[in-house]
Amino acid sequence: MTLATKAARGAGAPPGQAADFGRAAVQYLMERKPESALIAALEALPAGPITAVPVALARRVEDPDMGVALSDPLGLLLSYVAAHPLLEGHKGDDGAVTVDLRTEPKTVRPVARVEVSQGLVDHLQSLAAKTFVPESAASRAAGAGSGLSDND
Amino acid sequence: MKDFAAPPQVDLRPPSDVMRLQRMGSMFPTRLSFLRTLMRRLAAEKVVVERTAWEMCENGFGHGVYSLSLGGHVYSLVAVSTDLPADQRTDRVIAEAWDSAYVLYDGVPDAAEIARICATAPKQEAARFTERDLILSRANKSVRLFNHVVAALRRGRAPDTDLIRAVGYLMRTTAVYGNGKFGIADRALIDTRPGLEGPFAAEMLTVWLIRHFTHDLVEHVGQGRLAPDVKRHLGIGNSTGLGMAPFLVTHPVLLNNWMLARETAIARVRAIPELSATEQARLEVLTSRAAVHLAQWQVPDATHQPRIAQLSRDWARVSAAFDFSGTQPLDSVMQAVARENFDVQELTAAMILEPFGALVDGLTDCMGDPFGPFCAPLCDVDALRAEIEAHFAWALAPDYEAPDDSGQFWYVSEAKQEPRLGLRYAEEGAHLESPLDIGRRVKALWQGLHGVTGRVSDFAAAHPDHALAISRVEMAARYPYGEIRDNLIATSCLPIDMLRCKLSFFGASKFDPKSDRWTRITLCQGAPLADELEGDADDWWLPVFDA
Repeated sequence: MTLATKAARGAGAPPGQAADFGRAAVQYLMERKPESALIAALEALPAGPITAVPVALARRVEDPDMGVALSDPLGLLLSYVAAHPLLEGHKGDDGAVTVDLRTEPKTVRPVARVEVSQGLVDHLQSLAAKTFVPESAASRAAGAGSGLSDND
Repeated sequence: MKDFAAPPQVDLRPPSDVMRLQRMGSMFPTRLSFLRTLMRRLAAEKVVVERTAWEMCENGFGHGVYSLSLGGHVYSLVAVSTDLPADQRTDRVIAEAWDSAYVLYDGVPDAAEIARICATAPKQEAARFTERDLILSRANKSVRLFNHVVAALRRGRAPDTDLIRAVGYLMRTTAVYGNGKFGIADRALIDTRPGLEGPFAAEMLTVWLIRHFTHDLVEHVGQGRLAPDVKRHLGIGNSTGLGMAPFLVTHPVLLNNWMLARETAIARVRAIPELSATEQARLEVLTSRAAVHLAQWQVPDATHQPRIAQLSRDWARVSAAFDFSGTQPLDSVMQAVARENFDVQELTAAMILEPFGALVDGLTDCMGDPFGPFCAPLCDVDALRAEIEAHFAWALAPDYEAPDDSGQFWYVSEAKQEPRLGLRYAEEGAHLESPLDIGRRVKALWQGLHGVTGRVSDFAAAHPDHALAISRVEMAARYPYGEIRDNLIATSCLPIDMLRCKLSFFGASKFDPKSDRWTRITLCQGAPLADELEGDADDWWLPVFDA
């Protein structure tokens, strides 16, 4: 699960849409596009591309003959398409994105390193932190790991 | 291009049988396990492990570097050994210091890189790493055994064999991080490299090299040499808690591919019409070895040790009736044990694969997930409803309003950002629940579809909270073994069953549960040593210690 996925959850996205956003965000940053679109998308929740794009792509997949171009005001749609194994997309001169179905799945290959501003990291982490549960006496007693002394 | 006919196979055991937690919690390692696959690859390439640096004080603190070439790439383990005060030693993920820390490095590190790793690896999650760092790990000593072996070696004596057999490792890892954690390399950067294509291959390579280091370390501090059979029995322990459990839920394609490969292997060997005398004899040897392994598998847990003892008794009884002659003998054996408990069934299923590497090892190529989930969409809600009723009857049965069927919730802790399992009606935090409640979500989707018609996308647009459930239902037809078919938020859900399933795929043995949510295991026990790769590097299923 990417930090972007956790951030989307923290910003109120349902889990399926958060996972889609997480994958798209990786593609988006690999293409070195402006970080502002990611922040804007998170701030738009519960509306905006994080909930709208998956529906638009689902409609496209349901109807292969649809062939319509989709608007992409924040520039995220192509990243969603890039992260989807069965879709290909290209942007027209008018800015609209045409999405086509592939006959075979594609593999998504990352680049080695992506420069991300500390501001974006901090913002995503602050949103992700909204999904974390603070410890309590009860949770410590029934936590994940061993007792404090587990030497053998 | 030639068409290759798939080998004959009987019907696969259905997901409705296989994907149940209690059976998954009874799994044993097989020859398809990731560590076995890696070891075969290391042997096939006649890999040579070279210790390129050893800067250790006489008490064993400092660093060492080991390098090897695999698939045309060089990898190095940088091992950092630290003088850890006893009161800081804990296996819990909240630990901040360890006896040793490791990086699997891409290439041969120069002095600057070694210095960087020596400074950062001991800090683990508190540090940041580079794309040349492929795996990050840490390990604590089994203090009792480590000190005993050192003392024995210094006296010029062999260590106590009962203690070797009882503990089985000098150190145990408490985390083995890969795939981009804390800045290390993303898995996709290395997963097409020959030798590292398999799931967790880099992690398994790291663990095997760590085991090698622990042997060198104890011999260094003890100023003596251990016998090869002793070293072979000293694997690497591991403490695994809840952190690993959600993976099986969040990676349904991988889980499907692992299970499907294993079930296909079982189906293939069951279809073998008759066995040669050699194959029959081999199975007899393995049957006996399993009995000895079970006898040597001793754990302190008051619940688990009786279970092992029962399995030992059951194995003696059922294996006495094994008949590997006749027609489709392995199918007959599996049908005979179908009346037994899951421990017996899964032990048998693992054993019958062993002699047939030529028939089943190729299936390991299918255990990865190069594409991520993709499947034909369900265009209308009638189809969606039908898929739920076909594949998710297990999800529709529970009453998720009832306390027992909803008594637990998965969440991520603020303290360490690690998975936890809480008691819904006794702890705070359920409103931040992690979406691992697949069964409940699918039932909610099914209930939400009542009286609805039209396109799935329209329904999803109107009901965005159902998107995850819709995706899981759509995946079910293509990935039939991708879903744990149990209620993961029920009071009765035992995370230990999820851990054992995944760990068995790693190749772990000697499961030693400490509670229903964490366990010790041993990896690489019985595995070839670094200087044994040219021999038979693949005959170490359920190892025994004969000394």
